[in-house]
Amino acid sequence: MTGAPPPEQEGLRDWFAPRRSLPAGPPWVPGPRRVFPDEQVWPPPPRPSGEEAGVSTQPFPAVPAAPLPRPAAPCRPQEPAGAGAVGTGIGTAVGTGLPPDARAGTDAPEEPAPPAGVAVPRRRRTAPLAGAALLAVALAVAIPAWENYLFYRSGNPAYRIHPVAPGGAGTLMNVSWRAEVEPADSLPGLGAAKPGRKWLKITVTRTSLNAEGVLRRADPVIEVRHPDGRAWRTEIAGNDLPPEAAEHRIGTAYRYDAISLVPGDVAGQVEVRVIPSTLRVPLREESTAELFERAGTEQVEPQDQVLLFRR
Amino acid sequence: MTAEAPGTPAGPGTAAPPLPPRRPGGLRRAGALLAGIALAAAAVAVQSAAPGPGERGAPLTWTGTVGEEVAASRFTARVRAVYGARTVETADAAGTAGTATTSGIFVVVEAGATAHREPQRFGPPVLLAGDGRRYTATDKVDPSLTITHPYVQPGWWTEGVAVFDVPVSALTGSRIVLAPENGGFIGEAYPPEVEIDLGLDDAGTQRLIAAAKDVHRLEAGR
Repeated sequence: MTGAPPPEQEGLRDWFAPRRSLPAGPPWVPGPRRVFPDEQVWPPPPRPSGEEAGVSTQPFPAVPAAPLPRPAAPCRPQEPAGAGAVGTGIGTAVGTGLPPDARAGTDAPEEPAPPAGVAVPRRRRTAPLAGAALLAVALAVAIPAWENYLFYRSGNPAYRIHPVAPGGAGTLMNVSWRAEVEPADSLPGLGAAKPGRKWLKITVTRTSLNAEGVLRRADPVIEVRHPDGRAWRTEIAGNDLPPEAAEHRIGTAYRYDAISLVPGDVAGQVEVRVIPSTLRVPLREESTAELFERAGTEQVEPQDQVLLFRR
Repeated sequence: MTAEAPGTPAGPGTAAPPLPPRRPGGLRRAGALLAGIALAAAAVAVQSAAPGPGERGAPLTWTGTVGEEVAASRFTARVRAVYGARTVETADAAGTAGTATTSGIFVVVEAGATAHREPQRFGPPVLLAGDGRRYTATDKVDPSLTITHPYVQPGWWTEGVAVFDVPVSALTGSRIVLAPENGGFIGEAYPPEVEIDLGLDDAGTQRLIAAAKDVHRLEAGR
């Protein structure tokens, strides 16, 4: 709208007419009204014969010669003889500008050639096409399934079980762990278990083997699980770890007290599982700058190592 | 595209004499077109069977009736009895007493559950009214007194109540839905749930309202 010609010129010049040479000087300066002579717009005035190709916007004229050989187009039989007469594109114009007898004459020798050269390889493509389709379907199913599996595993790691003989100690991440289970009918503060159930008093001790073990002093996960897969809620009631890391001694056993409630008939069979934390808790409180320096330098370990204390 | 591919090469391929092949070619092309349309229609039909946005990841429901043990994938639940109440008196473990009142009616559902493998807890139970509305368990009663508090564990039944505060009109045809608590923001997809019909037809609703106690007492340590 903003580019519309001023009203006084609208009647003189068509939209598609060649642009007039604008008067020199700054535009839109009010001045005396100019009058222009009439100009032929349509039909287009004859052009000088020496005009180079690429300038004209008119359809190419028909070329009075045989067209270039083309592959047998699938839609060839439906193509009416004069369909491209309007000239929507160069290719159509070249093909359809020919007289019908010229087209027939050029196409006729091509007819026998494709049955021998084209049809046989197409037959043989069925098996590869079917194989490719099967492969595409298989990939379309398998790739999202694999991604979903990886996402599932990011939350539910595949545990690596390290069995520990009864009464023995298991070592993971520079910490030596022991576990003891003591069934009880009643516990101080919790009262008697209901009939058919037994309390389990679980004592897990940890001993740091070196300074690296001291860093791994975050609380573990303690589970009570029957070999048949059933598990019962286990809560850590307390521990005697020193609150200050400086008091944490290498080689000293520290205790976690855990409590669980299991059916009485499996109280002698359930096994304690200890999943040590993979956190590395620094020895002293770090400043933010130190925290940022350390960030990203340590490899993130999945918490998937399990000590299984046999009974 | 795929439908036309077999038809196109077949035309010249089957043509030993130059003129007759036009008929089979046309027929084959029509057949291929029909097959293509049929395949496209089948694809659309399969799409219409796909789960909608609301159904994707929706819970898998096991249903049953009052008194029946309904075994879902990870737990088994049952409803023993349903009561109506005008007010609920509570006394939690610390001995703090409270009274909950309502303009509608309290529905107290006595339920029990046992786990198959892992210890788990129920999320807030839901009452599905006959008219399709959902009522979550009332917050007028401390959750520590209801079935959402104890762990449901393998080997024994954990009993508890679910208390709903609903209008009387919602009673007929209502069901209770019990499901393990499901994360927070990102929940598990297709979690199990048990839907138990409370057996409140018109007569049952009248009986429940008529037998509604003025005061229902809930105490900790049940």
